[in-house]
Amino acid sequence: MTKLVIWSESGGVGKTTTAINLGAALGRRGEETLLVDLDPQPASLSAHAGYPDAKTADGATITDALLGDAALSEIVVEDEPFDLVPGHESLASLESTVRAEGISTAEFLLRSALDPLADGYDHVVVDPPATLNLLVDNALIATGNVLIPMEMTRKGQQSISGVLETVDALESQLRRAQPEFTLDVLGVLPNKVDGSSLNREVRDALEADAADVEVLPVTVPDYNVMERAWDAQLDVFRYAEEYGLRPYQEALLDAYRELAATVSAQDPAERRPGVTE
Amino acid sequence: MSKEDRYAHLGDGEAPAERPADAEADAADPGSGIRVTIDDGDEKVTLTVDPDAASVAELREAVLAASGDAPPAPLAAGVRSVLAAQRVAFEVGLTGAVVAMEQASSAPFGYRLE
Repeated sequence: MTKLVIWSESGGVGKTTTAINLGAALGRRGEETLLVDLDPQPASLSAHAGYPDAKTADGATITDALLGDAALSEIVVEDEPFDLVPGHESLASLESTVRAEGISTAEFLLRSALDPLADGYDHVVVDPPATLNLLVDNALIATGNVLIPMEMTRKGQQSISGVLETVDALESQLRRAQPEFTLDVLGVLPNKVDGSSLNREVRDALEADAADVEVLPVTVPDYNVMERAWDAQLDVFRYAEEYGLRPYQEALLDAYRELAATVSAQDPAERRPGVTE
Repeated sequence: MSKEDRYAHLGDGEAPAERPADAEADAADPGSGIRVTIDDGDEKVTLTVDPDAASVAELREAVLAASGDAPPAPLAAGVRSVLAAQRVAFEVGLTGAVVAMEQASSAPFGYRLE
């Protein structure tokens, strides 16, 4: 099973858009895919996937599952082309809850909750908030593999170093207790690329620094049809089927198919070392 | 606080794989069950017995029955079946009752004759 967190410390770079469309592309390859919404805010993966009310729903929630009060399997929404663990607003108080209850395993809650589901899926994709907090820590530890969506701007370029610092610090510290733990970076996904000279300059700069992180050979173009897909609560593949795309917009589908092929080809046993090498 | 500092505590010890609920269940909480100490002279283990599984009287009877020293067979048999499920076996030595446990790193069962 491949586990992956879509994360960047910058907001608005397309984490959730990447998660849902990667999930859709993986599912359309016939691979069992589970998306996990680990973001408490309303405008997140659950809403994009058509479950906006899940954030405030009664009953067992992902927070309950993390705290061991429910099984994650109870929360899973089975759908096509991917299953979904909806997020919930109560995630916002998880950190204070674990402090109040003195839970010493706070960073490992998602890893433990996902374990029973491991045999049922080929891929698990986690979408946490941008802000570095306990939810992000859980996502990083549970997956051990990060995909960084990035706008090809100077701001985006600067944000990469923050992610790499986090990955390096978390991996090195946790390995003191668990030497077998690895936290890899699958790579940087150039997102919302508009073909400007600045985009190319930033990409060139990142590729020149490839010792730190790999820029994936996939480019997601910046087309506003993605916003319309969000409004329609559909991934871009479903949106294309229901509303159609202009010929040039088909490049979006190709990009996510290529990204899915890259993720699908990931063999955890053969992954090359990440940024800590 | 640097990111190294943020994660420094993770390297302080092996991170438990169990979930918090499991951890709570396994924790030795004097108020949540019957506290039992097993001491054969070489090794001493303190365990917590779920009172829903067996009462103090039932445990005492089970040990006595297992030693051939006493009575209420049906009750003792019932408790013994619970004990078997928990991978716990009874023996009696010259110095008193001994509870021998298999794979009992955190077994929730035991008994002390006092």
